[in-house]
Amino acid sequence: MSALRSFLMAARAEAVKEARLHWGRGTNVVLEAVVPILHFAIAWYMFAPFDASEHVRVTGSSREEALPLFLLVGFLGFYVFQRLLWAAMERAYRERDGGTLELLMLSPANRFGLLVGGAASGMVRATWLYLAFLVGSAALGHGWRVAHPGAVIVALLALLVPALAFGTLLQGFLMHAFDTSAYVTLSQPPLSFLSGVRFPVHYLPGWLQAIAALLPLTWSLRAARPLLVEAALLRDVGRELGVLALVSAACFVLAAVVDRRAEAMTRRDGTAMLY
Amino acid sequence: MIRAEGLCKSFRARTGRLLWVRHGAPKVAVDGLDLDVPEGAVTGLLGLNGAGKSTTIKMLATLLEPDSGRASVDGLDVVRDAARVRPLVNMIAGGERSLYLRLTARENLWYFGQLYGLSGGALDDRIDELLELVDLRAAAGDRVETYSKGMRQRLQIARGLVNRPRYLFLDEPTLGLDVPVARRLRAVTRQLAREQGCGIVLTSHDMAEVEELCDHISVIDRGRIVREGTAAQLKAGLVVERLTRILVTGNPEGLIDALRSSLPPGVRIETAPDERGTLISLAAPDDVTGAAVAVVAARGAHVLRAESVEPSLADLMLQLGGSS
Repeated sequence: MSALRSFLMAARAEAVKEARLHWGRGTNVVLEAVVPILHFAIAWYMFAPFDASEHVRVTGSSREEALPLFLLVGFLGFYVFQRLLWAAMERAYRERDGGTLELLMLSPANRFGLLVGGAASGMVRATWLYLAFLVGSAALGHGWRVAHPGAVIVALLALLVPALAFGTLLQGFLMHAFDTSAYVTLSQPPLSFLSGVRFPVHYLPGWLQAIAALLPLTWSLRAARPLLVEAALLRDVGRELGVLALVSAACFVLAAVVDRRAEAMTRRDGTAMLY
Repeated sequence: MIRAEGLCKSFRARTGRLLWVRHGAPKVAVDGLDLDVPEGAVTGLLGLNGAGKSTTIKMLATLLEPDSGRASVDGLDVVRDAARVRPLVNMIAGGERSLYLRLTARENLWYFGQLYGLSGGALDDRIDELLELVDLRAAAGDRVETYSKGMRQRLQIARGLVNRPRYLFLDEPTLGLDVPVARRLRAVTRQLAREQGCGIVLTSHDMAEVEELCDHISVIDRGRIVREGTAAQLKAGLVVERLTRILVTGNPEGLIDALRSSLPPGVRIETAPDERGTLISLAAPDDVTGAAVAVVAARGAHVLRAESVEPSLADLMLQLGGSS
């Protein structure tokens, strides 16, 4: 079997399995339908007092942005990435606790495919979250300023592709880790603080900006905000999209390396401990 | 053929977390183990808890990396060629875990089949075949969380066979199962070995199961093979007292003294009241059943039952337990 086919089979199997496990219950379907709307409502009413017509000049940037929309996009991006963090934790915990981690290690399945598939199952939730924010804000009066309907798709991809890469990396980090909840707890504040969720990254000291530049969410927001808020054209965010592609590629590569090393450690230390 | 030569594995307990991981003193799990597992036969691994059975199986199945020594599956090294070994092997463990409870049986088998590169009609056919084999066809569309323990274990068996493994590791496969399900599993195991040429490694605490299934048995103690052979050979090599039990009517006076004077010295004799008479137990280095029954008959007592208890593999385990 070719490496590509092996990868695709593993990714598909994992994505389908994760989706069935999550969406197979009526309560989960209802929750997944409602929670993104709640996320939007929380973000909306938090920023509603601000005057949407007031534009804020962002220091170090030539652009002026509507503050509520700036924050809404920030929260949208954070929620998408946060859900992938949780999904990776849930999967790692379930495979370890349920006794299936060793079965995955026992199988000849393409490991990178399993990671990507695990992360890909979260894309449906991410898309629904995006739609909830997009439609909700437009319906409630803070209209998005897009140059072209296609910009909505590009902004979605600017969130989803790096999110998939980030989710894959998380799956690689967490699948063989003890105490996944500790890693998740440690990861969330930096993700929110460094990626420009609530304020522009260039307010941070230089060395923190350097760290922020390594996070895919930083670049997702830098590409999605102009597209959704400033009616930017594709060429206006070409640099951001290019960097986004590079950061995403780096996440995928790092995920494969980390997973390979983590599995080797598990094999050496016998830490799967299931049977 | 699976061949292990000088396999060693130690574990170190982790006492810290995150940045401050500390390792305790190494604990030897497997210590220079040699083992051959042929195709088409069932090889038993016997030993007390912690003897190193599961660690051995995991090393042979590529789940653990040996510290030293070498193991190969059909000539493929389990460390260096692990990716080529994995399609050839599978494992079934006792217990109810290792399945996705929110998926149906069919979905579980579909998923694991995909992991082994099966797809399309071939996978569908294989799933049907396995569901039939483990008698779960009627419940194939039900979520596994609604299954009984026995049904889950049967699904485990189907899962372990999905890739038609050339070698199958059964780690306590009938643990906690009721008699009919355990019997069915044993029949499947026999069939796999005899008819399909599968090489099977079995660990079990059920000595009757080991005796019934295993063509060859290796006894592990503290990570080393201490004895091996067929069940009959292992039992023949046991140095245990032979036990005779005779149930007689009433409580014939003088019978015990007659037995003591007639039987060779060193025979331990105990009596216990029974609802139908008296149960006489005799323990001796050799079988004294015939001589004892003759003495009882000569004294005019009526023998209701007489039995000679053969040494069993359980005695072997008891000996190991006594020496550890």
